[in-house]
Amino acid sequence: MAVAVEAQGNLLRLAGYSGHDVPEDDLLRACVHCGMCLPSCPTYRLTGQEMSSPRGRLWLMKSVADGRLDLLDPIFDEQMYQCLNCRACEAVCPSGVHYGPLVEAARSQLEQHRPRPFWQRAVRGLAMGWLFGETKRLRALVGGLRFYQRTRLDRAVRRTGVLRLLRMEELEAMLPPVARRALVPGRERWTADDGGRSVRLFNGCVMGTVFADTNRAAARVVARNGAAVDLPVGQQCCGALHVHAGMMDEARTLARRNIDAFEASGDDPVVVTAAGCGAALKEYGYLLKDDPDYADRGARFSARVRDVTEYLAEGDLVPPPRAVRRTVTYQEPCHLVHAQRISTQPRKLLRAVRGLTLIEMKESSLCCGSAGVYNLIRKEMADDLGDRKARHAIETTATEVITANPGCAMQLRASLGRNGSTAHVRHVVELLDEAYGGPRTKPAVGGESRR
Amino acid sequence: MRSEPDDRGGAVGGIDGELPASIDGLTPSTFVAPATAQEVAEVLADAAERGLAVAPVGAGTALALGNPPDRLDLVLSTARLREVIDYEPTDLVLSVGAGARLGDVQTVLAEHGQELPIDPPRGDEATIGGLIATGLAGPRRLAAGTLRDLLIGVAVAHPSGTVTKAGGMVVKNVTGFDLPRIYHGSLGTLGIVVSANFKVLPLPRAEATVTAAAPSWEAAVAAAERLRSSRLDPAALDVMRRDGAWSIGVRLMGREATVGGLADEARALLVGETAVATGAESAAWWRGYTADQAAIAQGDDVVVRISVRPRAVGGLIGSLVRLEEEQEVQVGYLGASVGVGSVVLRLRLAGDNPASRLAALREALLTLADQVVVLAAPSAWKRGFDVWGRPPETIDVMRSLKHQFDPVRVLNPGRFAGRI
Amino acid sequence: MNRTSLVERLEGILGPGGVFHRPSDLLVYEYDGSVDGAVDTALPAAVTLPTTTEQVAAIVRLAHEAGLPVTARGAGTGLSGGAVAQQGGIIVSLTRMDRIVEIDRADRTALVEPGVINLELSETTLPQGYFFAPDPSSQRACTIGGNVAENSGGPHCLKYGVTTNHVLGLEVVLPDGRIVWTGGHADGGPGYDLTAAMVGSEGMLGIVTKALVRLTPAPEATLVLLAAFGDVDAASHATSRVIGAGIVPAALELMDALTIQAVEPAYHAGYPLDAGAVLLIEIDGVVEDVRALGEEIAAICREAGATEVRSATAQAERDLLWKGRKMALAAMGRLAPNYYLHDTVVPRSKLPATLHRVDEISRHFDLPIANVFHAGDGNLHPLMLFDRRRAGDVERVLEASKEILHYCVEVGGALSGEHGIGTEKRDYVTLVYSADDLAAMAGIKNSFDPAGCFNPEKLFPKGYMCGEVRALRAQAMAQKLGIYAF
Repeated sequence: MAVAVEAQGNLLRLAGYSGHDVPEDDLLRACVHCGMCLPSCPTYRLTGQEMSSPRGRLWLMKSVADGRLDLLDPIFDEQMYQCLNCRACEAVCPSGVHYGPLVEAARSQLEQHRPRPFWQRAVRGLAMGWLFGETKRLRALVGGLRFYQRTRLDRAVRRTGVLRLLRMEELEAMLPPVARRALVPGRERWTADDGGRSVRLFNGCVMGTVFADTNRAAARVVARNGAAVDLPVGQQCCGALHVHAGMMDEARTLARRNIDAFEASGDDPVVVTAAGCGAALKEYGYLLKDDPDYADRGARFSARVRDVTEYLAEGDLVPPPRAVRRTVTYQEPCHLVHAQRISTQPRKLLRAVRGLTLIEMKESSLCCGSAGVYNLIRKEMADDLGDRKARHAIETTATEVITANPGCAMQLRASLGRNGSTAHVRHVVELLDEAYGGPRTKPAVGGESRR
Repeated sequence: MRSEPDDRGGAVGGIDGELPASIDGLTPSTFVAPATAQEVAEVLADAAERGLAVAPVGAGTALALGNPPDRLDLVLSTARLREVIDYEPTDLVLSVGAGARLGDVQTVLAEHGQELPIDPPRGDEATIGGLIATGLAGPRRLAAGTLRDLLIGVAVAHPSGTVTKAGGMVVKNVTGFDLPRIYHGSLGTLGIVVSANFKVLPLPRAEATVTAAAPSWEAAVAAAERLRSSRLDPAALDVMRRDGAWSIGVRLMGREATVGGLADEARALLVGETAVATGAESAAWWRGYTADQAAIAQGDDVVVRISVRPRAVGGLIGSLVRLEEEQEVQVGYLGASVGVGSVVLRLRLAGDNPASRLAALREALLTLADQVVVLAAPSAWKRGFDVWGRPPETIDVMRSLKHQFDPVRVLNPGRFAGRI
Repeated sequence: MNRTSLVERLEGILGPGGVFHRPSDLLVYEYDGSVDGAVDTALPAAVTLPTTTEQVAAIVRLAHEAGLPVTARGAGTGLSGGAVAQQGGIIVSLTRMDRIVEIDRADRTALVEPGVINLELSETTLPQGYFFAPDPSSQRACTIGGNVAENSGGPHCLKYGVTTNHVLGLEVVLPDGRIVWTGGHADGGPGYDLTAAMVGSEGMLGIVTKALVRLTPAPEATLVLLAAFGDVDAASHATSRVIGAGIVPAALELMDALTIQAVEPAYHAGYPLDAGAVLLIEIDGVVEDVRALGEEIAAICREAGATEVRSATAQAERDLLWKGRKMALAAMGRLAPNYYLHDTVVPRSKLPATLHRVDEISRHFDLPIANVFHAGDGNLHPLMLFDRRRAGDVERVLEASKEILHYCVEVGGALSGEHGIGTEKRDYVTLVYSADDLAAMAGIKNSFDPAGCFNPEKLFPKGYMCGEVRALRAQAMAQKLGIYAF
């Protein structure tokens, strides 16, 4: 039985998948529609409707493949992009369905075949292709933002109401104080005294600019735990945003440049501070699997990637000397807990801090609504999720909400503020860094950090 | 084979147990005691054809239950359907004829260290079929549930002349609608259960009953609440007033080594003088205590069961005590299963015109609780109201159910709720 | 009523956000959790997502008036096709009715809407010391409404009983659209036990819009034992010995070698890889009983030939032992791309013989079958492993299940212990029930739903409830008895 698309009373031939990045049939068929994924899915929790569940979306993908649903049917576009790609469903799937690559391929299909108005294409091209395509450009823009905050221009602008007019108020509310200086690969490095091990830090686009100080904190903590840290020159944005948006070509270009940049450092661990980047970097092997020159190199690169919490929790952590007497709660970034299955490690690190009280919040692994740029394009659903998350965080009475991803940090900041909380949002490594003594941290045995 | 009911009248004398001369004043013209399920069905089909009304009877221990029948022509005894059909101790399942008495069944089970964990008032004499039909239960349902929770299969004879089965001989079964549970408590108005299958349980290895006198009903209820929220997980927990004195009884079950300790804990939670009975004595204490709850009309006794949500039991007892004074009722016996929310009264009505006084008492009780059932009362007094209480809002579904199973109202016409 | 006016009127009840009717929106409501091939999919005409009882009643009244089939749906995790709208019509999806209305500690009850997720009810009440006992394997996703419809079980129903033992009352929308209550806080309500009729009725008698369920106090202590055996016979034997000793464990689960080999490498639960079978036995109660019973069970298992017995009381260790059991289905993905989870019951004493038969069937059809099941109550779950892309695999699976079902019925078992009949097993019902037995069940159906609009084509053999057959049956009855007319 086929569902034909009604178009002015005529039956059209249904467009299936074509071109590159077709959702893989074997991956699709692995889903036996048992429904165990449903409660893990944030959009299903909010809507209670089947099409907004992972199972429903997979069924839609299957229906397109089977010629029962048109690729360009509005429901397909709506559902492929309503998905936060948080991958919570993957973690609970009894059949081990790889949902992420499937939804990304489906989006790629839409990008390839869906007619978009010129201005949309232009904006997407400008933002995703031009701005994120070259880290230098982003650094320049963030520098401007810093100037905007620094000069108190922000207050003046807020008074004018122009932000409301441009519907950028929320965007501004999310933005934390921008780091004074961007972290530029090659310009800063950290040494550890024993000098045996070395670690390559993946800088990222937003992390290396807006959150540059978080990256520095991570580097200090890693160095304090006995590994020299540097940032290979030539590295770019990880391409996660592009993959999530179905812009696979752009993503592959960035992936190749990153692989090139890190290849010189052999098998040294590549440490990442952003969960979203880590998840994407760990999937380079899959992203480039059809590229004869890069398939193996991608897989090798992916095998080196560690989230910073994962890396630190692997060994015995040097006990942080300072007590931090504070109550915190931990919000699990989707791309850490679901995509990378890293859940106990950040908690292990937090427990290593003397004086710290960790109170678990309800639904700590439910998406906060950030999901890359989701909160910018699907504000209503993102706000609902953000409010839910803020309520759970406020319930714990924590004065700090700890997370491990820049998108989450920004979304949490805005959501907490909107719900009347003054709790700070920080990265796990920032808290650890504080317990080690902050910027004055000395490496484990003698030594000193060099700029 | 189509049998004539009249032919079987003579067979009755050979059956042990007494068959009633009448039910609520109506005297049947015929007694039958079929020997097989198929015979029961044939009797029913025949009755249906002739438009006769049939009252199934087991041991006759709860005949006072129900409204006076609209009609009564034939009493059908299940006494000859009493064999153990199948018993697999290793599977913990038992299939038994409806006419078997619970006491006999428990004896058979006890030989293998097993039991049906139920303790309906005067239940040992009652038949399995009667217990299913009346749905009467005792204090142990607090932890063990009622017979319906153990009933896994039935065979039932219908006025259509068929014998149907539902459920089976396994403890877990979702094949089709749960008919066994629907027959439970239906007072034989949908069909006559001819045999039943049960899940049985291991006998508790040891048991103890701790009792204590209480200075007031408030003290008794408070003690019961303490026990209920303790770790003791009692098998039964009742507050009672007998001969004007309040007391509390708690039944504990478990391993030999633990029950003693649990009893000590229970004593610590009770105030004042306590007594402990163990083993057979413990069980006997509960048999004695619940005997007065049976749906048996002795003289002018009235037995009433009032059910409320468990949290409301204390309040209900308080209201009953006040009502007793206002209405000049002599409540000789009050037994309350605290965690269950069930209170049974055995009472006498003082003064003139007891029938209207009973009707008034019932109205008053219905202001205190949604569920008030007059379990037993002199027949004449029961004619003014439905002894089952207010008809439920689903009464039309129930009527339709009755119509599906017994369209010409052969079985116990008028006796069940809503005079079905 | 034409489609347009149906949709308009539904939108009048629910608003536009509560109704789906475009063909592409309906696609995702054509399935439930059942296995493709064992259960057909079917498209509804419209899907409704009510948020109140009154809306459900209004939808049902409208369907009643239009003579449209109505199929209630919870999370759609069922395995017998219960939530598939076999004859089209309106699906009433209850996922947006997911409030826990009241938790009453004194009464030990919870009043919940049907869309509340099973596990989330227990998670809500556990901090107060109570839990909702029925724990189907899908408890993370399935809804209480679905549990009521299917009378769901789970590992712990060995001691605690199935859903019907935990439902005190129901708010129901009847097929004519009336809203009624059956049962309630106080036991002993007059008349027939309609709550019992509703539980396990597979959505054929009414739609549950609120359920009053019993909460069970959390036990003081819990112990999990893992016993490894050389083969399934020894493990089954040990099961009977434990039960024979007068012990009722909270759960008693058996896993065979194939299951162990799938589970252990994936989850490292600590099951010995060379074992032919393991038993997972949980006991709970007061702390002194649990300790002593644990030792007693361990001794029984050793006597019965256990090669290894381990026990765990700490939550984390217990969770790890259980993890292998709970993730068994997930681990099957390592052995084959597809599986068909079957559900039958046999008397416990027939377990060894049944497992042998299953093994024979497995070899005969060249179909790997793993066994992971509730041994304590004889509830078998043969897991047939296959690859749907391979020609003939699905057919072989269906043939093999038929043989297994036949055997289980032969030895005195039941067609389903906890999954329900639905469309999956409706044509097997005549293996256990005669035409007369089914007529009695039809009597229940007819008294609630004389028009036959609620979840048609379920439970009864195909065609059984349709008008023509019913008329014929009535005629036959009439000829036979002159009175008995459906």
